[in-house]
Amino acid sequence: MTLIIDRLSKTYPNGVRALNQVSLTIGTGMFGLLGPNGAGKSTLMRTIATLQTPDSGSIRFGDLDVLATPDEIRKLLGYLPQEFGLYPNQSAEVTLDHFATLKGASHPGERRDLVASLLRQTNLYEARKKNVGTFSGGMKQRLGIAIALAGSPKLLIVDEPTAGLDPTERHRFLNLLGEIGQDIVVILSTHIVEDVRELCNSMAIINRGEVVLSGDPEVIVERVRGTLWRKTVTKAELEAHERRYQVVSVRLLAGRPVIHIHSETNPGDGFTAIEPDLEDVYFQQIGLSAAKAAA
Amino acid sequence: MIGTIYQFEVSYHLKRPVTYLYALVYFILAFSFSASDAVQIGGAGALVKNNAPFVLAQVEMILVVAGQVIITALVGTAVLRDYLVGAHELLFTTPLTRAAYLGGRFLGVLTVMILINFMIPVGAAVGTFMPWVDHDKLLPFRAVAYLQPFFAFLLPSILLISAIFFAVGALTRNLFAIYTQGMFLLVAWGITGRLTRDLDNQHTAALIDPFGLSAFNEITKYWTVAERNSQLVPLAGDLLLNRILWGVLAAALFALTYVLFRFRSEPPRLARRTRDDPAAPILVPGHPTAEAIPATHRTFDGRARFRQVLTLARLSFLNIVREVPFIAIVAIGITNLLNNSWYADALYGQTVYPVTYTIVETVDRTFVIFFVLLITIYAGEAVWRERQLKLDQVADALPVPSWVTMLGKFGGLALMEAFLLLVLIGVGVLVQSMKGFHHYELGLYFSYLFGTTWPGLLQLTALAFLVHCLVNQKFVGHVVMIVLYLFRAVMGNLGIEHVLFKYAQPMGFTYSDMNGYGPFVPGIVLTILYSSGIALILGVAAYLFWVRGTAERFADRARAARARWRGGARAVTGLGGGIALLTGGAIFYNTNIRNVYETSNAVRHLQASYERTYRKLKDWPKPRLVDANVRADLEPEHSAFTASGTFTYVNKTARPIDTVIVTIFHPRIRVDTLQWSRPMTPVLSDSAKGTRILRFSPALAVGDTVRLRYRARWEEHGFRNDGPGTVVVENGTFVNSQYFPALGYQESIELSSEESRKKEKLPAKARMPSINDESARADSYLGNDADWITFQATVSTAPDQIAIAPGYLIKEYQENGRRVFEYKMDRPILDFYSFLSARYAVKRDTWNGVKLEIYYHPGHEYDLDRMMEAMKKSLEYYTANFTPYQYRQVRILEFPRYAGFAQAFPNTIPYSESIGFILRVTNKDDDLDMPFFVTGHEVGHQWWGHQVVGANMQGATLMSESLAEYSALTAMEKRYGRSSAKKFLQNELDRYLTGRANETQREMPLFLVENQPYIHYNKGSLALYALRDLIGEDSINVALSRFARDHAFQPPPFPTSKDFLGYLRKVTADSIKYALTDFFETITLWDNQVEEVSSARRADGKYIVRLKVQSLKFRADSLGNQTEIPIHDLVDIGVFGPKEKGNALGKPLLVVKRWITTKESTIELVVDEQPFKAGIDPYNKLIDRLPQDNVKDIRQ
Repeated sequence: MTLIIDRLSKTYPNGVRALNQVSLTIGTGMFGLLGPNGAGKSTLMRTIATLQTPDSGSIRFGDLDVLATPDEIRKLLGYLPQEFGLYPNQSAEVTLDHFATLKGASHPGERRDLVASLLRQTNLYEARKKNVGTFSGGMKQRLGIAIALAGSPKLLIVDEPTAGLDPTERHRFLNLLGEIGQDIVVILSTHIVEDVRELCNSMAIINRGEVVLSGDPEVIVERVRGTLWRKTVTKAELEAHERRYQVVSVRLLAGRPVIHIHSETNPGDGFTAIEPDLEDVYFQQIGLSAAKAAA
Repeated sequence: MIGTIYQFEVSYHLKRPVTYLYALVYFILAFSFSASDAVQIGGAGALVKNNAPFVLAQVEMILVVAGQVIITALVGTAVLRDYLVGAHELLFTTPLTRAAYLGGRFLGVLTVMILINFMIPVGAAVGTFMPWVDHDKLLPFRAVAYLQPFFAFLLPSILLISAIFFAVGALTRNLFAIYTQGMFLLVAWGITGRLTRDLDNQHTAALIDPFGLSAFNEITKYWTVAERNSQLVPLAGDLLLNRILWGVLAAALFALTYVLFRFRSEPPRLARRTRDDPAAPILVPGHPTAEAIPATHRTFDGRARFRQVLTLARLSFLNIVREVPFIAIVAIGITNLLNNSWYADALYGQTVYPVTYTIVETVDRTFVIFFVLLITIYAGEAVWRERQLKLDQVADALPVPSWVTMLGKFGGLALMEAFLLLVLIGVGVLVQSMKGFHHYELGLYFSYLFGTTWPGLLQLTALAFLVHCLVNQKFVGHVVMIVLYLFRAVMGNLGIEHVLFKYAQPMGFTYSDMNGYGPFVPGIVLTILYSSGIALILGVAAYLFWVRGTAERFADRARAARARWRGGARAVTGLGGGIALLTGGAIFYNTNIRNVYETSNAVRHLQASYERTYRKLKDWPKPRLVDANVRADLEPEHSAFTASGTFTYVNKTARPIDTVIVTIFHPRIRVDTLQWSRPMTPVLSDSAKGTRILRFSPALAVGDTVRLRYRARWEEHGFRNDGPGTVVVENGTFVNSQYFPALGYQESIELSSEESRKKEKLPAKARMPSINDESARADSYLGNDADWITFQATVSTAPDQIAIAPGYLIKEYQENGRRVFEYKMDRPILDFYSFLSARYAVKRDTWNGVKLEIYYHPGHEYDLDRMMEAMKKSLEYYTANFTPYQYRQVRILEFPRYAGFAQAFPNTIPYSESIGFILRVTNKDDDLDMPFFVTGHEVGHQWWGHQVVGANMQGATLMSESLAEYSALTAMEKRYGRSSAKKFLQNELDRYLTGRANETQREMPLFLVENQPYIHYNKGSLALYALRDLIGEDSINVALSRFARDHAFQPPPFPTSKDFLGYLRKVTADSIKYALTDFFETITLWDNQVEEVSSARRADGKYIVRLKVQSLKFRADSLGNQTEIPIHDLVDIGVFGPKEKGNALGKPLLVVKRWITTKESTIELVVDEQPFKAGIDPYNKLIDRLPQDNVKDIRQ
């Protein structure tokens, strides 16, 4: 099944243009959504998850019109928002059972098995009798993904799921996603470029409500091979360099600025070529779209 | 620093619109009290003016307490605000000191609170200047009357309220606590008030009340009309102590807040909560998970939806009942309920058996406020829970239609309500058991609470859901709900009376042991169904506006609502509308078509119109009734009866009578026959006002006789807006003689309350004719067209019932499937009779050939023996000391509690099931045997009322009610001893003093009493008992027996209270005659007080007791203005030993009467034993507004 987003636009009452003619086609597998804060990622995801209506545009999932038949989409949907809470006075098991029922798992025996399996998958089985109110952030996040996964969703939307997870949990979580994502559409939004590179077979970068780049991460990275250069400069030189080159990123390494620049040809001037990296692409695209907006 | 914070805080509030909203609410509350009748608070009455200092103080004090519920968030969020916006971490890391921060904030909100509360006196003052306000209800404007209470009584309360809210807000930082603490405070205040009301020590009770109202009431309890109108309530005594105490406590609370508050992120905790994160086993990154998630069948059919509703309801229910606030509210509610139901058996100051209906009514009545609280709060929580937990996006993306979610949450509240009702039943049964009462009627508990209470709660819940969905701001939603409840409470006063406007309120009903839910069932069922139909529509509306996703703008929600307005929603709306229309139609058919819909105003208009049209005929001469042969064919099966009879009249006037007025003022009676035995022509027939005028031709000559044949049909058709009729009911019919014709203009139909008369622009009316109006002696106070009549009655009823009318049973037989009883009197009686019918059990006995019978409802055997004994003992005392008993039988008849009186008809005494038949007398020494007393009183009326009856003028009830009261008191004293009389008289004194404080027209001296219960009952027994104490029992009895002998069965002119006082005067020594003046002819009060008392042991082992006493004596006018007069009275002086069980005063060592002739006197007494207490008028025989300072402990 394929998710087709066509010219989706949304402007908030306060004038913020959250989505501007966004079109994307997302097939089975993991789809990474990158973008700075306020880029419109969450708005896009909420819209796909039937929680918000756009001003214009359409979304189709397979044969279904998402905006016209939200109830049908919800039957296929798993959604984990960026920030969420849980009923504090319930155990993990009861909570999950509750959501499984709401997702249509009406048969009690099957539901029991499903709940147990999800709890094991998310490594919460030992803690299943514990009150959710006492859970740590990571445990809550895992329970959230268990809820999203309950009911075998065909479309899974997870909004910055790894924020707040420790590295071990993050890996475990991404593995789980990767495994599930083989057969269904998974949309993953994140700030962490590395996650997308590792997991996603397709991605898009969004900024200011617009898609600035989309495609296969490998291909995207290959495309910039040979155009990225690095140099360590002094603080005094930095300003001059920024004026002279198209600087993609600046970071301090042991107190000295290291700059990456984009250049089709070898700029010389002490720059060395670097192995392209999705992060550089990201910075470059964000920089470009900012420049375009400023112009 | 503190100044900056303070200024910031004040200006912050002054910039917020909500501050002005609060001020406006306060203003409107106080304004509408002054400017309209819709809001009625405080003790204003016909005589006590709306802006009397007393009333203003009371109203202001009450409004402060009531208003704090609304304003609670203002103070509570003073500190929390910083946390909510996340500014605390920035703020607390600046060099700001805690003192400056808390002090500035607190003083700031306190200032704003004072400003807002100041709208109370302002609103009240502005209200009085509105042009439409009735100036007769006002005194001249006095600014100090508005301001003095504010500064003297209100400031400490405002300080306290602010300190409490500030402390809770700063220390818990919990929004829920902040929003609800006002309601908690109100409830807790109510409970402590209730608990402390029964404290022996009223000083303690007065001090405990944090808002000072108890102390205020203690001071002003016996204030007369004049005092209430003219005096500022002084900030003195317990009230001053109270205000200082709570002011200091408020300051201390703030100090405590300061000590406990820390500049930290987390609120302080009493115990640290442990956070348990089981260490997840570290897995090698990249380790593939072992198992696949099992495939699950998913269904979204009806059964699945049902299961989803259930799981949502279950979760919602558990979420509610596990919340601490829920548990706290329920705990407070149940404490309150236990407390209330513990006193549920206290009825009119007497104790009854805790039969199930008394308990279940208490449960229903006292817990309703908690249900309202819980529904308001938890409907809000249900609507908002996911959004607050930030779980809304997860929940809203689930494949669950919004109606399932909403229904599930509604179900959670419904379960919570049902669960609580079950708990309440448990509490009720527990209370009954603890009282040693084991006749639990579980069926009644369930039918009452689940059949009538629960539906109302569910309907309210639906409304609360709708409000919260529409308003979509939680706290505003709560406020809207409170406003709606308030509106519901004042609707009646605004003239909105029709049951169709009373959403979620089952039609009012009275459960009776005798008659069950009886005639109320159709009304209850229809009103419940009607509101349920509306609730369905409200539910659909809530569903349409149910917020899903991020559609926060109203336009978005309206769009969503239109999208949801489809098949299901329309169908349910149609169903609800259909139910509401059908049942509403049926209700309307009952209230407006089968019956005439009458607002209370319409009835008032009719009475006024009767008076205006016909009063001019008041003194029209009329023939007098001499014989009544009446018949009542009762049909308890269908609430109907036929009244018929032949009435014989004689022209006893000195002139021929040609024109007669017949009055049958009963709106629902159909008169079929009204046939005179001589030719006549109708002049006028005004059936709306129940008046017919006709002319005899020829005129009825002096001494001539005329007979009237009468037949009328009366049927109850369904129910009226104020409920069904309870006259003829399935079991327990009580029909009185108002269904039979009366001749002449009937003054009793006129409006009597000053207020109604004013509204109808009728002139003020004397309650009774003056004692000097000789013409008024033509009528007794029990009827104006008859003197003493011969009487015969036939009653027919259902075959399984016994029917009774006054008289001796002549015949009993079956006729046409009806059971018929014929009764006949063998001597003349007053024109005063009634008919009763029920499935009775009968208890019989005899006394000296007099048949004694009690007709009672099986199951109500509790007090039969006491009643029987009372009949014997009172007959014995009255015949021995007054005159012989004129009949050969006494019958007591039980009737349902639709009315709560006992009434003496000739040899026949109907007694409500609620006052006589379930009274409980414990075996404790000091418990009064009230069944004995009430029976004694009603038997007393066989003399005082049915032998001697006073003229219809001032003082009439002295000769019936006061004498019956005195007779019963004496009979009870003979049976149970002096202590019972003492205890009884204590209550009488309290009721007399309270009664006169609430007088609506004017207090009269006893011998001019104008049918005022607190005078003829309470003062009557005090006066006669005090007189007996001075002149002796024999002398009083001599006077009473001579009075009865001379005036029994006397034709007009009827005796007056002046005649009666003449008999008393004859048996009273000249030196004591002042007492007749003090007790009967004037309003006299005493203020006796022991100033000092000491004792010394003499050489002979005896003790010499020296008392310094103050005795003041006052005369009061009809409004309670007092003037001191010189004292020259014989007063008890007593010395008492140590306290005894059941006798707080102690063993009397010496009680003597001494002449007190000066304000200050010193008295010396010698007693044999060691004295503990001594005092003046220790038994409170004299009327004293401060009876408690008459006795003092002797320092050892």
